[in-house]
Amino acid sequence: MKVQAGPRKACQYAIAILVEAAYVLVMAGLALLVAVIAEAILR
Amino acid sequence: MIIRPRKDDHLIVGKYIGKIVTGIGLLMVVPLVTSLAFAEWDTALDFVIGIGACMGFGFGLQTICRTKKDLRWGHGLVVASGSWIAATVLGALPHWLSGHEGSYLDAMFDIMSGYTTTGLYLIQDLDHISYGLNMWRHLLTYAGGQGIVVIALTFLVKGTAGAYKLYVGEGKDERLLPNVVGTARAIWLVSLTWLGIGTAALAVTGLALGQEPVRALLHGLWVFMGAWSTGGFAPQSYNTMWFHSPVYEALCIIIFVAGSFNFALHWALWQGDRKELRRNIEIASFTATAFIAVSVATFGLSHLGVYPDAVNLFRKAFYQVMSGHTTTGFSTIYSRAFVTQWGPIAMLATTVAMAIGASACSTGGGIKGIRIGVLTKAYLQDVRRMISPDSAVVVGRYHHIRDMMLEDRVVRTALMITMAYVTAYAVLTVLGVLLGYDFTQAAFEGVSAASNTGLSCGITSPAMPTVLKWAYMVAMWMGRLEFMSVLALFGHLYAIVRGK
Repeated sequence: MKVQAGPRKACQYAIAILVEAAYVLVMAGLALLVAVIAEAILR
Repeated sequence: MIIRPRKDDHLIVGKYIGKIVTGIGLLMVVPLVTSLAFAEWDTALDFVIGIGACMGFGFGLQTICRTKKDLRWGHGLVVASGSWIAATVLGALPHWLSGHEGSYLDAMFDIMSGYTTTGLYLIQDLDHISYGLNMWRHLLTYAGGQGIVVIALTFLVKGTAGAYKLYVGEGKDERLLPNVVGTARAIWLVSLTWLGIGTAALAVTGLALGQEPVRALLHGLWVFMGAWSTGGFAPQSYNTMWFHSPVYEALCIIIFVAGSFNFALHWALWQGDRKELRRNIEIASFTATAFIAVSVATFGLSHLGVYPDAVNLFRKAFYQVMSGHTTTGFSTIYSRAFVTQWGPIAMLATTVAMAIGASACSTGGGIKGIRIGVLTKAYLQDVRRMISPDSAVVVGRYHHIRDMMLEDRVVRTALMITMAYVTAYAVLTVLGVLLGYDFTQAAFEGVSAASNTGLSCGITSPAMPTVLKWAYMVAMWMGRLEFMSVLALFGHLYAIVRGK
């Protein structure tokens, strides 16, 4: 397997980057939920 | 019996350190060009002197140490740790010549902090340093994140068997491709693609925030380098708080979390294996520990009523704790706010997050998610063994790129390195307390240095005790190379003196 270029590979790489970004957004969503719960309980 | 290194051993070590220092000299061409482009003649001269010193030393060493013998494992470890020292001493020249550093020690501190992607700094009047020097600060943190050995492997060292030993010596042991030079190039492909996309996104956001085009582009590039390398350097003294933008912060988080991923995981995703993100033990470990740390910090801050509502609470807690957990060191609060506003619970959660750190074979530091995952699995395996019948064979497995057996050898290695980190954290904490700092603050700053994070609660400053500057520098160096290479260098020096 070699480092490859080309439109198909570029699409694959772009999807991989979006997947990584989506992971962070899911984590952020969970953190926001925790903040809402914390404020509801402790305020 | 300890065997004294032979002449050939010195020649091999010298030759490869020479190559890597030459690489650092070549890297300085980028800030030199930046300085020339902005007519910063004094800064350009500083870099000409720096390049001259690196090239003179690098080529001189290669000329003196001519040998055709290839590296052995011990050599690779010694070269990796030795080259970081040489690169720090010589790389500090432009910083020191700039007049923004209090001493040559401060300049070396900043360079070591940059290479090791830590992000603590002693440079003064950061908001008014030249474009060239800012480019150098961020470039060296980007290069350090890749690994300065990876750079040498890519450009200067041909694909010899010894190349892999250099690569491992720098704390990276994943082969993305069968050939180690191919692996180094794959790492570059991932990083440079992210560089293009991340810089563009940050620059466009900067433009939308009202920055001038050139400034938006440069800030985008530098903030990207600080985020992706989990370095934490930023062009302004207020770090990323300076931008006061939720969009900028969101982009930073995406970039530094991605930067904290194992390059092998990136490569698996890039090859279309999206299940790897769900199955990988490092991601499972990181997700669990990050969630716990963010939750504890959030509840601690909510209890103190520091922020007016849930959204502001989330924005500050998530950014700071994720920045700590990925060992980035970006912050959107003042350093002293950790002490004056956050209180001990949130500070402790951030400290533990920094201690655990990012993924192995990434740009990040700390104990690493894979070791936490492996040790957790080992504990669970032992519990299963205790509650199983005597005749039962309990086998542990984990998934990292491929399914692996949880062997005692793997657990032992994970435990050894974890213990080394914990010892470093403890030593720095005790030293901080002995020098008169509060325990929580000493622990926070010490863990931040040894885990290569760079978040500061205010201890790190040009006025801090000299002994602490040295201690943090050594901790950054040892932490980044995961101790083994540094211990090999000490062993090499001991063998020179006491070997037979």
